[in-house]
Amino acid sequence: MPVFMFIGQAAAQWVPVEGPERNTMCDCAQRHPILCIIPPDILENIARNGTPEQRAEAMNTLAVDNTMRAMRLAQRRRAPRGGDRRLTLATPTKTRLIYDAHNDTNLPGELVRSEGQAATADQTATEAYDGLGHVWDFYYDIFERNSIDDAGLTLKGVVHFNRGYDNAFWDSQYMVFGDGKLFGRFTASLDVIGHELTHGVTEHEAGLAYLMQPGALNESMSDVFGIMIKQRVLNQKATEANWIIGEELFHGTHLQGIGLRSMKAPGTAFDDPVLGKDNQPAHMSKYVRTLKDNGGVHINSGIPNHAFYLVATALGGYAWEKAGRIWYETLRDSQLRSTAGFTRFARRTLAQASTLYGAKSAELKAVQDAWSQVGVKV
Amino acid sequence: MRIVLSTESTGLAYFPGLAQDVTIDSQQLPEDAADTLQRLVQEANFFEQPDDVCGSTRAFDIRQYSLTIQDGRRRHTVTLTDQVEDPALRALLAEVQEVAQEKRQTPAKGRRGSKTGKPQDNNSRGSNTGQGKPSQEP
Ligand SMILES: [Zn+2]
Repeated sequence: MPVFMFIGQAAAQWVPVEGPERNTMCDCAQRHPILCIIPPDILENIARNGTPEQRAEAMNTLAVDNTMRAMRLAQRRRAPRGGDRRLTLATPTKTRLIYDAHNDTNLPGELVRSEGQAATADQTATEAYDGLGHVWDFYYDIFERNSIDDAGLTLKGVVHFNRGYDNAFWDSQYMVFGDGKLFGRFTASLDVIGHELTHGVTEHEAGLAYLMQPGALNESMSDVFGIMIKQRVLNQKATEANWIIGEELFHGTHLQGIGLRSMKAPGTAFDDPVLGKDNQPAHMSKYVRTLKDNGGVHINSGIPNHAFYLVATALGGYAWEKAGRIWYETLRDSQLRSTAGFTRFARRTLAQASTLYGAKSAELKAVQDAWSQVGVKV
Repeated sequence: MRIVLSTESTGLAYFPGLAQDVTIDSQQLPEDAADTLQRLVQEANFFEQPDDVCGSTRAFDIRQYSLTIQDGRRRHTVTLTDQVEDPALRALLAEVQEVAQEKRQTPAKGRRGSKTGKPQDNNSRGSNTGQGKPSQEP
């Protein structure tokens, strides 16, 4: 289990910090930034199931930062998985709120549009409102999912975050958009909006940990559903689509590239003097081991991304009809753990394909072929 | 004063170019730019900040940095995200990013004309981050 080995090595270098000065709320002690966000259940998992050394390190870590851990556990209010949530609900309705951060970084900023209100003159706010609507519609129309949490969560978007901010992120409450400086504005890209909100879906379902392989799967889920949301609005079949994530961000800029990522040909999206060269792998033989980027979550996502592309294009039709259904059911699969790596994830996609379409189906074969092509042994 | 900005996570996508460490030597900056940085470092109480100003622990695609500053005999590293709440620390990060961005966009000056922009210049960081460079595709 390379994921845990890696954490083990990093953990071995942590410096235990003692003393009364370490009681600041957000003080994560002397850790590598990637360790800021290791959910406590992963550490607990290692503490329970790891090798003796890994267990000792995890236990040590748990002890070092008990305050932080308790705080995070208190924050975790993940609803139980499964379909029983929607049985208790009346007719689902979409509710959106759009805020304007006015180039500051305090969230959420000023409320500028609520559900049902007319558009303002601000194109960015309109794009965010419409984009959140497309995401909600996709999940409801295709998967009967009632918002991100499947319990009617209000979708909240924040535009004009910071000044010339070249990014968009999901902070578990708000979908935050920058205006871009190197890039164009982030609301212009529907698959980016879908990507961010899908982080919320994943958080409420498999809860894939945001580091190493589970993190790359988390990232891939966001790309997979983000791109399908865009393809649906464009009415594109799998074989007609370009499978580029965030292409609008490059429009009208001097950047040398066609988007943030290519699911069709990972590693080919950009090659630019400032951004560098896209280093996403499309095959396990090119898997990138790194401590940057939370252990390469936006890098190695190329592998499961490409697997999804292969399944969707092999099966034809609209991606969400079959490939998307298999992936969605896998995300909701109670046997998919938050610490799952590529192999375990792939096995669950096979199990779901078999359940949905049968053990001798073309769908199952397409999934098997895809994982084999990207070098994930199942 | 020497500042090393190390971008641990470049946000929504991984950009190797933006993830490279940038070293800023205030002696090689124009005087007013150096003064501004010095003032922001003081206003942010940088050397008294905790090692880690995490912000939200449940943010996805957020950019993460570690900022190391050496001023005389003092040296300190703080890791933070774009959501850092302390306004003074935010102002410092913004200014450092600005200078770093200029250096990135003039690579010839930053990486050859002076010694300041060498990516391997990360000896000031903890040993656990030294292996942080992604391996390049062959
Ligand atoms: Zn993401």
